[in-house]
Amino acid sequence: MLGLKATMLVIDNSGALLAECVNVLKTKTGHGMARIGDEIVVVVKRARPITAGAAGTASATAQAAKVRRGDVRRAVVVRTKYPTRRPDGRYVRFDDNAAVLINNKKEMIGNRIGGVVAAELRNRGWGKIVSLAPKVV
Amino acid sequence: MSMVRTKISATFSQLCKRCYSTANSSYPFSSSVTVPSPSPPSPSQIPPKTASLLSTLNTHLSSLDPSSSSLIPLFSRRSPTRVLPGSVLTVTSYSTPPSASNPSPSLTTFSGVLIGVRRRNEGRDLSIRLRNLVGRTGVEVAFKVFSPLVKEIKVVQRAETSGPLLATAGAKEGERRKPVIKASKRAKMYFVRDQPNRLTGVAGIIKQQREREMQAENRKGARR
Repeated sequence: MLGLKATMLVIDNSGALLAECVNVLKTKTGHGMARIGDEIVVVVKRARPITAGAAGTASATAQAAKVRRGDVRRAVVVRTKYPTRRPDGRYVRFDDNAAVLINNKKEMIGNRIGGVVAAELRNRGWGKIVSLAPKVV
Repeated sequence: MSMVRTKISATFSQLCKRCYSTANSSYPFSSSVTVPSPSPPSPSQIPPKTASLLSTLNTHLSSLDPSSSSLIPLFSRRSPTRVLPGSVLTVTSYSTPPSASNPSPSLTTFSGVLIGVRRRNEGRDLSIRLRNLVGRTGVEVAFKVFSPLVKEIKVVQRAETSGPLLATAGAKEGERRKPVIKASKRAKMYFVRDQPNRLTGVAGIIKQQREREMQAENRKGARR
């Protein structure tokens, strides 16, 4: 249940660390809050410092930060503190809110995910995120 | 309104007759569906005649589940063998309900510390809350114990209020060993959410149990 002003961790390697929700896109519900698998627009509140002169090592390209503080980007919610209901009556609750940055074409900006994601994403069409995640609950 | 009421009561009485009949249970709409024969509740579970109709009904409903005979003593409020909060459990569940065409769908396991048991309606929708650290994030899952999607619930390590009595020569009378997990004095352990260091030992316990199971399987395989 992430609405305006909700903060969340960014768990991919795009360079952003903390994001704040600014808008929730096309939810059919009346409350206008984002659940797991919903697209939102975020402002990057904290980001990894972008190194000025990139060293030519292979690791640098993998960790290349593409996002700066203050950037407005789209994101997909992957973990919420608000419990989500599974069809058999199971409820899953995470200890924090987390999201993964994407572009307008629904492609991920980063290429790695560092953390647990919810299995709801598979049903919502974010199979790429689920396949990249190290653990899915 | 009255028509709906009679319709509901008619199907309900049919259901009761079907459930409690000694004849072969049959499901009229499909031949491939198996109807498990329900075991009536044990004498200790049957509520007294002075109990309300709904309370008696709920007791019978919770005993209808095929695995209720093993699960009710684990989670019932006053059972002497109940699992105390703080114990480590593992729940294996199906992703989709098992059917005749797909008798064993893919399984997912979740292990964690039992931080609460929700007992309402005489155990009809008994649910347990397990908490674990996945990666560095805490995850809590609430499982409906009698859901057909829940395959089994295993107790990895029980929490005890006090360990077993020491029978060694040098022990004083009544001295006890420390339990592996000390049960907390709370029914709901929500305070654990603010104590990140408390659950770090749980992963080790689960790993040890898995290794023990693997060794047991290997030994079985070697014997064959």
